[in-house]
Amino acid sequence: MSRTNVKQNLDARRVTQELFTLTYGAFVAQILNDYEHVDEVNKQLDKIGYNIGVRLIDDFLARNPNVGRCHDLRETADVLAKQGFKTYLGISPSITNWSPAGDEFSLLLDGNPLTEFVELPEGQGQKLSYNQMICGAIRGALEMVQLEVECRFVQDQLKGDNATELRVKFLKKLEDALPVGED
Amino acid sequence: MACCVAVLIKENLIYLRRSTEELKFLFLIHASIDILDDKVNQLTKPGGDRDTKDFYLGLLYPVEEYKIYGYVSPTRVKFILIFEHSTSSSLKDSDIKLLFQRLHQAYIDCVSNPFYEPNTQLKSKRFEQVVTSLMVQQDSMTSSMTLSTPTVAINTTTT
Repeated sequence: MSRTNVKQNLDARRVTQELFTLTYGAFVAQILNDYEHVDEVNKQLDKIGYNIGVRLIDDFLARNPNVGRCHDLRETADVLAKQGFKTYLGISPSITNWSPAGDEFSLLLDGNPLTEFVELPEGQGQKLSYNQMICGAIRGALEMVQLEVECRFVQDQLKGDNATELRVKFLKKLEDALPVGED
Repeated sequence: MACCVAVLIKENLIYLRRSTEELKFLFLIHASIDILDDKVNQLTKPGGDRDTKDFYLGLLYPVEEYKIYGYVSPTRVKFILIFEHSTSSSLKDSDIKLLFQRLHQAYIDCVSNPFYEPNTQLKSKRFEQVVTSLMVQQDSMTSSMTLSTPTVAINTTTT
């Protein structure tokens, strides 16, 4: 099969946004039913995201052959926002609020496809971090390219904030995990 | 512009909001269920001449002070709007149809919320906003009409 054929197939396999949104929604609602504590649900979503991330990174690098090794965190943030989010969620968040040391930045998500239709349930449900899977996925994906980061939501439109802000903090480079022969 | 908005599944009232806490609205809604059912049956009867894509059922019946309009979704969710006679005289059928379509769209968005259990009471802020907009628009159209503060939906189930 020629290369263009593969590409066409990829496009044809797209699902509609509604199906995707409803699938994720049903999935979160089910987890919320199964676990008693919202904190536990957030943890599970993060874990699920992590498992997605460690697999997705290979697919991402294969699809975007022009992505090379990043020299600093700014470059990483750029690739993450402009290519990572674009490829899988179809949005490109803006990068803001760099810390003075340059080891921490925020991604401002506008028009998150995951949260369309969603209104958090009353009471305990207000503590639910609905998009926690995205955090896990970023953490997992970056870990596979030897970057340990911490990732969390500091603002969430679902909770009544003005914006949805995702904070990514660089912790350290995972030197041990480098394959033999690198560097 | 409406003084009462109701959403029903079968005979169960899943949403109700009225401009005043009056029982007569409940009475009017119950009375209109039968008429709605009748109209729906006619509509879906084999060989029916109406376009089945048209879910607007028009004026169900007028009573002394009110006019009651109905709309039904393809999944048989019933929407009822009640207008006061004084305000509805300026309303065209097409306007009311548009109001129903907005209400229907709001309902669809609401049902798509993964945390909403189907066939239970609608408690959505977004849906409330749409209903509020349906109810207050009349202020701009007829200043003589005074509308009391919006009331919250109550849990009422009919059998």
